[in-house]
Amino acid sequence: MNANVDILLVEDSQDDIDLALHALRQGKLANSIFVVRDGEEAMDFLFCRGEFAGRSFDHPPKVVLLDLKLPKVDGMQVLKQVKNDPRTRTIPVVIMTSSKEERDLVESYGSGVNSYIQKPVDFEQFRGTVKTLGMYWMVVNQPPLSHEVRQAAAHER
Amino acid sequence: MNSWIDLQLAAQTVATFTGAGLPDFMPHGYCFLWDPLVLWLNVISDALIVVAYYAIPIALIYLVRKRRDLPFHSIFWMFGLFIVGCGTTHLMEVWTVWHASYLLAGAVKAFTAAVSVVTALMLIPLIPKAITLPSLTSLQAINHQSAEGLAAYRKFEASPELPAQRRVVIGLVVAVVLTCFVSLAFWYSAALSSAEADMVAHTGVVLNTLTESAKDVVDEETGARGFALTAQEVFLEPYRAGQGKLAANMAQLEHLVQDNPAQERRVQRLKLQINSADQVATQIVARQRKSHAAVDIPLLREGKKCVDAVRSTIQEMQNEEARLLAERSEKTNRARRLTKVSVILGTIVGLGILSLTWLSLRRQIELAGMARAQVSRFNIELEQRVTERTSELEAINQSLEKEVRARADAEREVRESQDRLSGVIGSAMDAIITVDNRQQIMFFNAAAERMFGCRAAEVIGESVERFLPERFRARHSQHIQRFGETGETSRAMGALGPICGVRSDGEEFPIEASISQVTAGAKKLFTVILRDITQRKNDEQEIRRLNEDLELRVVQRTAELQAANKELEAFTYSVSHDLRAPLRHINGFTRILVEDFGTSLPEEAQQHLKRIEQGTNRMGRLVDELLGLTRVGRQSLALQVTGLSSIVREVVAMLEPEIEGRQVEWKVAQLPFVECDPTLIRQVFQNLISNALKYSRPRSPAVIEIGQIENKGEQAIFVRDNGVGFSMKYVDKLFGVFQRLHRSEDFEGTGVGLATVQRIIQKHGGRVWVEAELDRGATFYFTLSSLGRAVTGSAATAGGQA
Repeated sequence: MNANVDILLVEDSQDDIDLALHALRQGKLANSIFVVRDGEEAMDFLFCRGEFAGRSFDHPPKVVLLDLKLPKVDGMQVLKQVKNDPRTRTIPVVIMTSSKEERDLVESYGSGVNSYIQKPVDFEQFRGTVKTLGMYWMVVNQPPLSHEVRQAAAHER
Repeated sequence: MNSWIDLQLAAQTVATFTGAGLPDFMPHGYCFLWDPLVLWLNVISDALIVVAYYAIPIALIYLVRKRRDLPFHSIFWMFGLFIVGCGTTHLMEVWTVWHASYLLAGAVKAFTAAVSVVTALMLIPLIPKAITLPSLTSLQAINHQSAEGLAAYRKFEASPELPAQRRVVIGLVVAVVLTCFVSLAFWYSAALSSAEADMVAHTGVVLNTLTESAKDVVDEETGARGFALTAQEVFLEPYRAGQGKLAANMAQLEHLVQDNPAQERRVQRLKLQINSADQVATQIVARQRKSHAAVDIPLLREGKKCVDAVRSTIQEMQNEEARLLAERSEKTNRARRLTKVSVILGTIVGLGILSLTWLSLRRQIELAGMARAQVSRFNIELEQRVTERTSELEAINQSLEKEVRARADAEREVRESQDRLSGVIGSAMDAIITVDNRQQIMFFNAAAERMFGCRAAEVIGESVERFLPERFRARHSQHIQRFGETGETSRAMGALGPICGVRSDGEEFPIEASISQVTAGAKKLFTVILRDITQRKNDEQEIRRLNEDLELRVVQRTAELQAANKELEAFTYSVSHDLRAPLRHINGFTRILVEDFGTSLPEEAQQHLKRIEQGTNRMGRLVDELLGLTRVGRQSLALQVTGLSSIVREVVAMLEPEIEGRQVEWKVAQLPFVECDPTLIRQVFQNLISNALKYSRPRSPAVIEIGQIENKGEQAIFVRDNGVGFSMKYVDKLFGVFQRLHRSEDFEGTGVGLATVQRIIQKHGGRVWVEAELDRGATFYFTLSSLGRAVTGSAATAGGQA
């Protein structure tokens, strides 16, 4: 069911999920979105364990939209885990959060985030941003081939 | 017989004269029984005493005349008189040996006694005075002092006058002695004459008696013979007369010649012979009476033989007396001649000596006259010189007076200066002590008295070490010595390091000392200034304690503040994350509502939804700006040299979209490069320029001017607009958070922008102010601490205009 996920949305707030999905849908990008509600679930998904053990590293999401404030394991931890692991390092992670606190920005970029977006209050702007974002990572961006990633990861180990 | 009478007369005359009218007294010589030894012993002794007594007053007179400085002249005169009296008394002793002038001698003694008593009485009150006379040692001291004077005096005395004076005195003494001697000789001669007269008279009496006796014997024999021849009684008369007188004459003769044993023997023989003649005469007379007229011739012959024997013996005695008289006369004449010679010689010698003395005196008087003349000449010269010298001295005196006045002025000045100085030193709060190089205190001011608790008079001359604790003394002494050797003139307070003083009651206290040295004459003096730093030490300790306390409190407060800061950060973090989320949700769902269901909603509902959307947007901006404001407060500056012109250009470019369709005239001057946090300064320009654009919206063209100006000596950047401006009475509110001077309907805004500007500028050490007028626009100024040292040189390279 979640074998080919294009976008992994990590968000605890249902409102935010709805708004994000609404915006993605309007941007024609809602076809393969998977939503997880906390950091631990996100980690399980990305590292193919727990209830997502059936998943394969060979089919990573094309982009992860990651909120920072999350129950259990926060977004920064998830980011660091993902970017520290050679198997998941190449997965593009975009932080989408309410805050644009400088220290969050610095820490995120230091941990290897691919993009950092403050969710605007104005929905129109939000929608525009999500649409642009989706278009970019789904269409414009060229991810590496998964078996090469695996080989590189194996080699690194 | 004439010569005998003359002798007797002379003897009587002498006796009458020498007896001074008292011829009944025996001379004193009888007391000595005319024993030559006793007599001459007395006479010579008395004479010597007389000479000595007469010599003493002469010596006294000489002494008194020489030593006119000696006090008690009257007593000296009395002494002289007394001694002369004594001498005369002894002279009278000599005199009365031969002459019974006892009245005169008594008168002389009475005079001497009176003089003696008066002298003794005069002596009594003088004894205390005599005791107070300077002692020998003090006189010696005075003598020593006047040694120079004495030397000069001796030089004068050494002139020939001194021996001359001595000669006069000796001459006078000799003359007196000679006069005494001549008198003695004269009186001796007179005494001899008297003795001779006595002897002549004696001899005369003896001769007379002998003659009488011879006549009587002859008369008796003749009478007896005549009776025998005539038997007439008439012839018996001379016989009886002779017989009667013979016994008396013989007794007298016996008495007269008792001093001459030879004559005495002859008298005895004469007596026997006269007795024989008497017996013969008596036999003749008796035979006649028995045998009338029978003249016994042999018996008559016998009678004649006896009378011849008597006559022969008398003749013999008369011859002996004549011989004795002649012998004595010869002896007397010899003595008289000797006396004459002595008197003449003594007189001549005396006169000679007196003449010599007189000559010597004359010479002395002449010399004295010459000396006086010389002295008066000298005096005249001296007076001249004195006059000259006086005028010289007057001139000198005048110049001296001038000098004295000048010196008095100078002295007064010095005194005043000293008074001022001592006033300063006396009132100084620090103790000032001056010591010499042996550390003895020479000066001690009032503050020192208070500090050490003792009087200056007690410590002057004492060692300053008494004010130092035992353990500092050696070091202090070395220090002073070293200091004295270095030639440094002073060392500042505290240069001696931490030292302590000791008060009189033994209390130690910390002091700070400075030392300086001066050379006064050949002496090196050290002035030590001491400050009691007990209070300061206490204060320092208190300050240290307070500092420690303060540091502790700072640490506490810092911890508190850090905790508060953390809390604030956590809060703003939450705000940043959580406060915006609901706004997004409201805004998002409102938008969805409008888009999805807008057509089915009445127009009014759509308007309300639009209001909700705008409200959430405004709320979002507010939150953002508030967060920005707190971020300025929390973040530290990241300083780097930045060109302000380029920042302005970027901001203007960024704001371009806002002024689309508006006519805006930009006047941007060249701005300097300064050291600042570029992000924050960009924020400042952005806020100020966007404000200027916003409030000049009613103007066409809007004129926005950005430049640099000098205000009260400091450089300021300004942003000016020609917008609506505001009244300066609200200027105080302008920089407060959420303070607005315009309605939101007219000019949107949150009231956070200028507060943020102020905070950023303050953080850069500058200030911000505004000048505005209602409807005349506003000018915002700000300074930066780094603006004064702006890198203006680089400004030229900053490039073009916006």
